[in-house]
Amino acid sequence: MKMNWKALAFLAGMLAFWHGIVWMQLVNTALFPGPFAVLEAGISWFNSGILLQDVGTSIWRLLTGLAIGGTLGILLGLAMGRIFFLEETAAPFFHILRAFPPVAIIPLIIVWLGIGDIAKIFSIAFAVFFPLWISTLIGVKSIPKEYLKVATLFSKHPLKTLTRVVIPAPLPFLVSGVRIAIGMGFIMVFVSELAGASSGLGYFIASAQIVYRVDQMMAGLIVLGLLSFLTDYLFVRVSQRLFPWVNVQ
Amino acid sequence: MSHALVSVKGLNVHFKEPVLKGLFLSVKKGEFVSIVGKSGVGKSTLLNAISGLLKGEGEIHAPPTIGFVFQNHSLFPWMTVKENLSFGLHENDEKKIQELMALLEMQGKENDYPTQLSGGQQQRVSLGRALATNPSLLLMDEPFSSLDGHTRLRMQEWMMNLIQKIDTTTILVTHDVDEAILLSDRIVVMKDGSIHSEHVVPFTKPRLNEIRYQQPFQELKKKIIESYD
Repeated sequence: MKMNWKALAFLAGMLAFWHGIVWMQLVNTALFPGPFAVLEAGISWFNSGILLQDVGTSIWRLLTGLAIGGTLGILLGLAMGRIFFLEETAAPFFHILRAFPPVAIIPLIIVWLGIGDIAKIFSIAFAVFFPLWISTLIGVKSIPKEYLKVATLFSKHPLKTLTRVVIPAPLPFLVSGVRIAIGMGFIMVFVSELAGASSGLGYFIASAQIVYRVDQMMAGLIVLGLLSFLTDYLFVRVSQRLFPWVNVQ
Repeated sequence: MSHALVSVKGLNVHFKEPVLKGLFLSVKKGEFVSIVGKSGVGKSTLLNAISGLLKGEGEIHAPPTIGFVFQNHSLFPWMTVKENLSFGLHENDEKKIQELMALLEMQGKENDYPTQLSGGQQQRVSLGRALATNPSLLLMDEPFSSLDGHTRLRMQEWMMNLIQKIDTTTILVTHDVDEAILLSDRIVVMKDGSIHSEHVVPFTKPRLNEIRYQQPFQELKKKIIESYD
């Protein structure tokens, strides 16, 4: 996504509109504070040192969940994409699991794993596993037959075929899968931190709700949204650099 | 050009129904043979069987080192030109790559990705990849069919020059009879899964594109097309 002057002007317009309706007292500012009040809440959160701590905790949980769920998803997607028996046997089970809304499993996870970091990371890993599994599986199944013929003809080493053809070929699918997984991961970070957490962005927003600090809730939400946006943006930039042949946009 | 490098005896291939039916073909070392015929007669199936990509019933004798050029260039989009060319090599043989780049007339494009190349360039790299391992036999399955008319003519001319430089036995599958006459020593017409007729191309090499407008060329073309039915 490119930020151009039109997009920036629109963003400025939206902020001005937000400020305008608050300034004209068209809304109850206790329930819908203006941008300056939210900014002030954000600055005070930052100055307390808790903002960075919350961001760090949430990002750590997200990345750990992404690493675990992503690795398992990619490995199983690769295996099922290449071994028909495995796909035929195990894929229906994973398709059923994939239909469960990830948020709905949180109460069960709390019962099974408690409210600590393990439970939160598990719920994030569970949510990100499926987009990465399905995108890898589809990617491997979509490898053009000619690529595999070329690999068979020009390389007699199965390991070379795997590392230089089977793994890179599904990357366009995988890159899309990771972007979906990042979005899912942020949802799960937020939801899993709403209950039973002592730090993190979800915890901050939940705590602010208890004391009716809507400005803090909105500041937390904006930080969460910005983080999600920035993570996706960074991923796109890194992908463009690492895989220039993939149309990441 | 004495003994047979490729020998196919009584080859049968079945998919849902028989595709190749007791096919016999012999190709001499150094020979350039084109296989023509209507769609669905089993031309590509024959190439796949000779290359070992497809198993059939019957006898096939072919050299172990085979280069294959597919209809669509089938270059790996995640590899640069140089990486694609060296895919079949045991190690990154820089000298070999530079030789190939010169042969393909593509110096300076080593680090480009396939999507950055024109259709003709992509097909040339595909040919270079097939030639990288110094194959004794080169198989080409309609390599120029996806190119526009102008590029196709240029590629045929380029190919004519190239085959003068390389000492490789070649089997080309094509729908284009002009292309077959321009490049081949012999043209084999396939019909209903077997060889229907064979035509020796009497014109001396190298042949120029202009040859296709001459009377003997047109007569041979007519004879070949008439043998389709």
